[in-house]
Amino acid sequence: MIRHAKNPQKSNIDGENRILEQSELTGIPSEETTVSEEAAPSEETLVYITNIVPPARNVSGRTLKERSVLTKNSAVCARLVLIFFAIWLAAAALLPLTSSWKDSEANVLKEWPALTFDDYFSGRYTYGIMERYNAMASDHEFLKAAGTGIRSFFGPGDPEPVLPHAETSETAVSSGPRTSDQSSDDASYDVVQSRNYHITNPDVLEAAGHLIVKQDGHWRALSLYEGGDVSVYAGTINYIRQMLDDSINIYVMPIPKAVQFYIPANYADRSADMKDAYRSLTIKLISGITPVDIIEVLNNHNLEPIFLRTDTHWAPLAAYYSAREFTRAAAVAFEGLETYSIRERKDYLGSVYAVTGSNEILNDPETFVYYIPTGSYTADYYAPDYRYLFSGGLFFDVPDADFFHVFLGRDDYIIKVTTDTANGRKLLLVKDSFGNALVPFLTGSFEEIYVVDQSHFDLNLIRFVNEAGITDLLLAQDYDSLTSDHAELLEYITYSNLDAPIEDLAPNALLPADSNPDLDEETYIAPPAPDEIRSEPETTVPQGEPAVAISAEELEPVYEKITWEEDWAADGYEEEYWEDDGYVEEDWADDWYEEAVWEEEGWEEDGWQEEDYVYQEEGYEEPYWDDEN
Amino acid sequence: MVFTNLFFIYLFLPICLLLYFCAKNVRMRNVILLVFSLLFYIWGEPFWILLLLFSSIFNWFMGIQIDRFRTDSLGRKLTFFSVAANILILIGFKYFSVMAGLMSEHAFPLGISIYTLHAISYLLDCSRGSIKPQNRYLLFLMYLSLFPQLTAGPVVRYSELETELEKRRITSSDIYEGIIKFIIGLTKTVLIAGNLYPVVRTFFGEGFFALSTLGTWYVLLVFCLYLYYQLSGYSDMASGIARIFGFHYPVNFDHPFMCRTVTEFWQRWFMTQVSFFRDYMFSSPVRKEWRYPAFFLVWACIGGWFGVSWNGLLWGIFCGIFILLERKIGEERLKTWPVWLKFILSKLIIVISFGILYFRDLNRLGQFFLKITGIGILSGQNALTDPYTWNSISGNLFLLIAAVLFCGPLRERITESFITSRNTITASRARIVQMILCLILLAVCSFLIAERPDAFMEYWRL
Repeated sequence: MIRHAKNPQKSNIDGENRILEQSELTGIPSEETTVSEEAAPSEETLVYITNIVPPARNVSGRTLKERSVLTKNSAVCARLVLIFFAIWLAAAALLPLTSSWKDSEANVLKEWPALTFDDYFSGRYTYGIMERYNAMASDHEFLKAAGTGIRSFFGPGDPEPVLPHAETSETAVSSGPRTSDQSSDDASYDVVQSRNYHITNPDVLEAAGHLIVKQDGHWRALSLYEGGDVSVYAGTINYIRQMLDDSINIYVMPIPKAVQFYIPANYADRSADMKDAYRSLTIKLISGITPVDIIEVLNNHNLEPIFLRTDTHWAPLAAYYSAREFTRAAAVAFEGLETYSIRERKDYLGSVYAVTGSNEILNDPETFVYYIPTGSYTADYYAPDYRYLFSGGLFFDVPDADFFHVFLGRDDYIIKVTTDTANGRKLLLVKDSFGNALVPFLTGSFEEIYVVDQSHFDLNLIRFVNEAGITDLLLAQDYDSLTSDHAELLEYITYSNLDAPIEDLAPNALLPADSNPDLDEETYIAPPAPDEIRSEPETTVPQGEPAVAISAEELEPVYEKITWEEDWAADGYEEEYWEDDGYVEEDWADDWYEEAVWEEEGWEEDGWQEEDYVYQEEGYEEPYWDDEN
Repeated sequence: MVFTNLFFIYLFLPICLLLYFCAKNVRMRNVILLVFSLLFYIWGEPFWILLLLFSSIFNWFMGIQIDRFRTDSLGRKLTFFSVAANILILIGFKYFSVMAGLMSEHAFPLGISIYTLHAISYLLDCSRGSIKPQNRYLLFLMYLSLFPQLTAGPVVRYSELETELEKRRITSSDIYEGIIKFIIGLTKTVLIAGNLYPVVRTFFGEGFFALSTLGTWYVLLVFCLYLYYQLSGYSDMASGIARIFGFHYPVNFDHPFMCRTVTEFWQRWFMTQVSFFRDYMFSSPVRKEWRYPAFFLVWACIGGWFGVSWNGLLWGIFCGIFILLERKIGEERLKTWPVWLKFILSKLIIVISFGILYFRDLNRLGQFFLKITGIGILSGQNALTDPYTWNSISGNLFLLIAAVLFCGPLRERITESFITSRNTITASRARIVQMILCLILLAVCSFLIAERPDAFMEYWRL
């Protein structure tokens, strides 16, 4: 009978440990002994088992005085810990909720989680209580920053793991060989930090057509994707391909929305799969068009902040990964993220709050991180009809509520970015609001970048590509733009405005060396707004050139004209007006001067542009517009 | 609820300690411990508390009956039946349900492996007459559900706590040692294991197929360190909390990577579990012709206890093969081998065995062996090295060095020399300095817990 020691001796500290004998571990007796069923454990075995727990350290070997001092010290140390706990407990429980560094966290949890049968047995109730406490426990931001700081001591490099990932078959293949000027960042492996968010998630709310989900301790708004037919979009791109020379590369890079990556499994049927739309699009495209799939690319980084939580747009980091993927397809150089200057805007609340009024979003703002290129470039801004407005950088001083427009200021410009990348490649980016974030990441890849918003372009796209000497055309809109009414916008700018004049009237300014207007945030200007345009406009001075003041009178009619023609273009009124009512002819007929000019100058043949100049010379335009207004 | 949570460290535990030390006698303290233990369990497992309660009632009742009929055949039958029932509950709720896909590997009842072993040890000790069965159900329930040991061990037998359940004395030294141990355990778990785990999860996750040979070895070593620090850290925290309450747990880990043979590794790794299997499975004499199957069966059980899938069994058998090999070589002959050779060989075998423990997918396990042996390089499936391995090493270099250094008894040696000076006054001040260092560690861990709230969501569930 094996007996266990009833009162095993204990040790105060980790002392010696008697190593178990090998025969005891294997259970196989040595060959010298035989085991019989009636064999009683030997005295040796009995002795061994009582020594399982190592003997206590012989404290009694100390003198009485030493024991008393050590005991007293133990009490002091124990009290130190109790004081530490008490401080922490007081900070968590007793400080008022209106404390400045807890407002944002505490407001999230003003109400205790509701106790329901389902919530309790699913664990949500107790989890919610813990979450509330964890948020209240201390200055959350400080702790997080401290934690990040501590982890920075783990090694000379970045402790965040990045790992090799085999390229997927869905990655677009470049139509050309990679050139030797590929950036060193373009390694054969892509970095991956991802996890599967398509799991059942009970913490989901609905508001104004959005899902508000809680993931990784934060609330995220998801705008649903309805899907739809991409035929119009594909057909338009095919037409563009046919109308442009084969030497011009055309890329299509649809931009996914956050819902593709973060929708919980229990709501999966509420949003269509963008992969289906991508497949449908690529099937319809003719050869000579390179599709760039960034769904898998972004999915490999979904643990990173690639999508804004409080806005429907993607975050600049996603634009970085997408731009990199595009430059691989385009076989151009690409600047790695380490070359950018990082900026942050804390407590960012995007457009979702305004749309949904969600308190969860309100009380869980995010930090908007964006990246400033450090290379040399300058940007010229034009009205949608290509009238030059001003020059400057790519970043603007915008209000917090509209901070996504820190890139490019507004959507209704044509922009030409001139860089110091002397590779002869000129990119035309046709975008929607998502594409704004792409532009800074392409300044190291193309010599010139033209940026056109499909909703604010009064020229003909194909003519523009030819006139501007474009070598690469990239269409980058979010998946919603591939379907529904947005696809018709691309149709309009492709087929319409064939006669609209295209002439770049920006001052020809040489790009000075080391010229980067965006590295100093102090120089950011606010984008011109309708009200601001009426006052004396700010002027941006291209370096080495005298200031060209644009008066309010000159800007005002241009802006109004933009608005007017926008409306007409959207409604098709302009054509109706000209064609159905014959207004122009009537107008010309009434005014003998116009008719004369018209006939002399052959206005119909030469087009609107010449008439415009005539009007300017004669000073007719202004009265004309005034009369019309 | 887990120990590495701000809610536990700064609310649950302080309140529990406060009430515990305000109690006038052991009886009141036991009630408080019981309430908090059940609250701890219900907090995370509101449904599976029923299984724990059923197990406690069943085993308490059966213990009394087994002791009553100990001397005749009914006692043996009752012992067999009750032990078999416990094993079936463990297999059914942990192994079968996970392998059949009925529940995920993180959803089976918390601590079922631990309290089942506790119950089996209690029943077998009752059967052997080495303990008197506990007549008070609530005390038995307290033993079974004691929250320090419930999550991840150690496996503490009833015989080791029998006296302290009803009578225990807590000195300030106990409190001090308990606090130190808890903070050391927290440091191991949060600071080291918690920051090694992302490397394992990331590199052995989706990117595994593109991982190079050296990268595989690197991540494998990281996994070994991670598992050691997590399990030993949790054991230390459990022992520390229990020590504050006046319970003295046995040592569970004794620097297993300081071993020179595979046998020695298992003499130092999760000692309470190994000694359980040794005492209750090895101790029964078997027929000579069955000893090898019995041997491998026991090792399969030891390995299988750690995992939820077949790979745990394979791990145990793999280790058992090398232990048997060492037995056949013989202790005397092994002593003649150079120490460095034994050290390296044993580490190689142990590290490779951890790879078997990690990969449950047969395909991935195959890929794993191709990579570590270098066959993958020859077949072109992977490279010898890759930049991401070096990036990870450089990003975690100091952490890795600390993890490797503190695998051994370095901390204990430093502590010993620190506080056992001949000069009593210096020793006493040194204790306060040690406590301040521990409080700094506690603060560091709190920062890390707050900074990454999900850092320890996927701990090794037992």
